[in-house]
Amino acid sequence: MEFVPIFTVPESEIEHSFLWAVQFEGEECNELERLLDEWNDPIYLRKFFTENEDDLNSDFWKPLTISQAIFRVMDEAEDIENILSSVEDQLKKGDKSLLKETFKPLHRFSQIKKPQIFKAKSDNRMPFLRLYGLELEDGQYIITGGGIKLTKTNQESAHIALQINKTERVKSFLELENIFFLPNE
Amino acid sequence: MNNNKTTGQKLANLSKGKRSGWAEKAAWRKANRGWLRKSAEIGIHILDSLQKAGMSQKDFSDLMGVSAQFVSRIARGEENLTLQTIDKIEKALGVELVKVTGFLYQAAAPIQRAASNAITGYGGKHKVITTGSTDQSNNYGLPSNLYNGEYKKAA
Repeated sequence: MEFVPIFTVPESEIEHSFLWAVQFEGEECNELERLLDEWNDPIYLRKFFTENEDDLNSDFWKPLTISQAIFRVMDEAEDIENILSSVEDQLKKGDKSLLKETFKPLHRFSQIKKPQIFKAKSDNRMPFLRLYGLELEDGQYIITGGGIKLTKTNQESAHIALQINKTERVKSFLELENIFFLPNE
Repeated sequence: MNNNKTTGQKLANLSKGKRSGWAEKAAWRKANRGWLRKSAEIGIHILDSLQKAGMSQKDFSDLMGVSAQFVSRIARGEENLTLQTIDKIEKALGVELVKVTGFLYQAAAPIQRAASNAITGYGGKHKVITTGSTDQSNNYGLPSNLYNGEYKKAA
């Protein structure tokens, strides 16, 4: 398991990257890059929505065709890319407010505060796309996965639950490296 | 001691010097958004057409006489297709992928075919001539010497 800085920073300042992504063993790139590639790939998206057509046809989204859903994902992926670019611009000016605003706790009302699992999404009112990860001490964030959320709850979707569970693997690895998470409030 | 380091320093030690390519890819997608979206629409249309015809991408690459990798790139919307390739795909699948909208000239199908046949190899040896009967009531606003419903090879 490796950790890749998401923003371009000089080697001497790499510890101030603030946003990282996991690269799992066997993967060609880190999770953020992998997800953005998938979310811009019509073949992947068409297959995904064909396999999850029942969720797409639910009252929650109806009416939305597979083609419409594909272009919606591509639009949201572009939103996320734009948001991340804005976060980087602000970080270069020493402002971390947009970073914190973008990555919010997954469970708003949860008593479980440790580890702090976050989600990030596009500006859409009901977005499909989610990035998941961990908020660490010292204001560092790690993206551990993400997915297309078609159901109202995360538990209803096997692929989303799997992505959230990946944070546990990363958490265990980081604890062995004496890297800890945002303390309980 | 590792414990004295900040979280950022500890992560930096685990980064192994790798850099993410997401920003470069995002910038490229943004700069090329227009044709990438059109290309993705064509890719999806092709995949839908193949599914309807019960054809695999391999069948399609064989039919087109191109590599499977090329077909995969077309389906992914990564190929900046020429009109010639689009026309070839349309003929292979029997579908219309691209339509120029708002264009004045809309010939009836038989005339289009005749024109298409005559213009093959167009490069000075062929020209439009004004012989034969023409439905003057519907020449789509074109001058009669350019539209007469019949194209013939020049002598």
